[in-house]
Amino acid sequence: MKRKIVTIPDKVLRMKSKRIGYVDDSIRKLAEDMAQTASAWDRESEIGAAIAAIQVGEPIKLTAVRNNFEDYRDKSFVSFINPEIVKASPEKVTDIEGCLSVPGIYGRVARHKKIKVKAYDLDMKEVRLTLEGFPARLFQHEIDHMNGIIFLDHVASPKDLLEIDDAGRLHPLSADQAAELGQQASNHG
Amino acid sequence: MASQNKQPLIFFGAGEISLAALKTASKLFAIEAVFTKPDTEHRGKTSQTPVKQWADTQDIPTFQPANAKELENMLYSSNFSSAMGFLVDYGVIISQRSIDFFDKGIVNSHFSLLPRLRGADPITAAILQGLDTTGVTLMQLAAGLDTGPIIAQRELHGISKFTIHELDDALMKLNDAMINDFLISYYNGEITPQNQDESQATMTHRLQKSDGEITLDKSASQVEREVRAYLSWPGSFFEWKGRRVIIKQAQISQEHAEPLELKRVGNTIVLGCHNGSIEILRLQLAGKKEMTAIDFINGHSQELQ
Repeated sequence: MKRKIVTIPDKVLRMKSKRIGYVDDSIRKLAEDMAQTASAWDRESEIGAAIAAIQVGEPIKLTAVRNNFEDYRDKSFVSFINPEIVKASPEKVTDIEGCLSVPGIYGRVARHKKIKVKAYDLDMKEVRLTLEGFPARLFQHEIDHMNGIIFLDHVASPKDLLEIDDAGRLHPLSADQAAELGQQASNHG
Repeated sequence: MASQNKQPLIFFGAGEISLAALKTASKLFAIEAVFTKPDTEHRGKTSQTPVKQWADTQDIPTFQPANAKELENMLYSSNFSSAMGFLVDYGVIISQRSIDFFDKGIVNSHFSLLPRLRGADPITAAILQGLDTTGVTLMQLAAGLDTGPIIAQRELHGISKFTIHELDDALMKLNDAMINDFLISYYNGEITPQNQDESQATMTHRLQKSDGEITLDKSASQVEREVRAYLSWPGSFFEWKGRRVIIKQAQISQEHAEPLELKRVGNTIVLGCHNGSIEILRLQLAGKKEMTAIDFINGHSQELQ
């Protein structure tokens, strides 16, 4: 079932998510719904690569991540529970990211180049991941959501904000647009 | 998290080096169409460029214009949405109007450190000139021959003993790395290309079969370089007792021999050059298989002194 995605400036995005202790049918159903919601979001030139439970209004540490980042025709997802970063390289890489909760806007964000993640699958079995590149960025972005942080918080300056047009091209924001976005994003509960 | 889908891109190319670049680019961009050379007929067999063959397996639409004008017409009568083109080893000089079709122009990989070694054969030229360093340049295609502004450039060191195969390989890998590092940034407008310094420009010319012939005026070190440079084509060759001999591997020798004199020295064969000689390690008689010096000696001991 597709759910409604929470977008800025909704304060729900600033809530901290709770650890999951036990996986029951409602959690499994939520994970399925999240995957459907993220893949239904896919546009002409953008894909929903991952989604955190808070983005559909549930403050729990659950994220659904796309399996295939290259071929967007593959709409399968895998879920992770209580993910945490156990090691992060000091080296950071800056690249462009977007968010289902900040529609139409992208920004340059510096993320740790390599991370090690500990999480659990839907059977509550421990999963260890060593990630770099796009998947490392993605997990840092989703774990941020679980701490009430959105990617705009990391964008260093207005010149690092971009908007996407119908053809999928990125353009810098005007000063007015950037200021308005700053207002919308700055709610800290 | 949301991310941009791959942007559309049109690729122009033909041979193996081109194909490697196309595969790398296809991981970053959605290839909307591929332009390549027309199929050729040789002794009743049709052959297609490596790029065409691969594009067909990927269901990417291919176009094979016969010349620059036809290419231009194909672009302008299409409904392509690509904002950028990428051209590697295509062999056709593209018109300015074709370049203008793309908002972001056409990016080109040229296998040298521009403005040095512009023209048709920069890779062979790097070996022929005995260089220890060459590289790859990503360039914004412009109307002249390899004169466009430079987007990015990287050096490749330690090439002075490379054969053409080794150098092709190393440059292909370097090009792949540069595509991964710069193509998207350039597309997103994050790089400002720099004009070339015309005063530093050097040209290379298209190779011909006759370039491979070892003539009386060529020095030993030049022949040694030609053997490595021409290994793929046209081959470094000389005539011996009415037969063509192609040298596959050689090194400089201290033995004395007259220019174009082939002589046996113990278990080695030596060919005299203009001011020195080379020892031939591997060779091929026209029409026969490649062989070592020893094989040659054993097979022709009566004809060799």
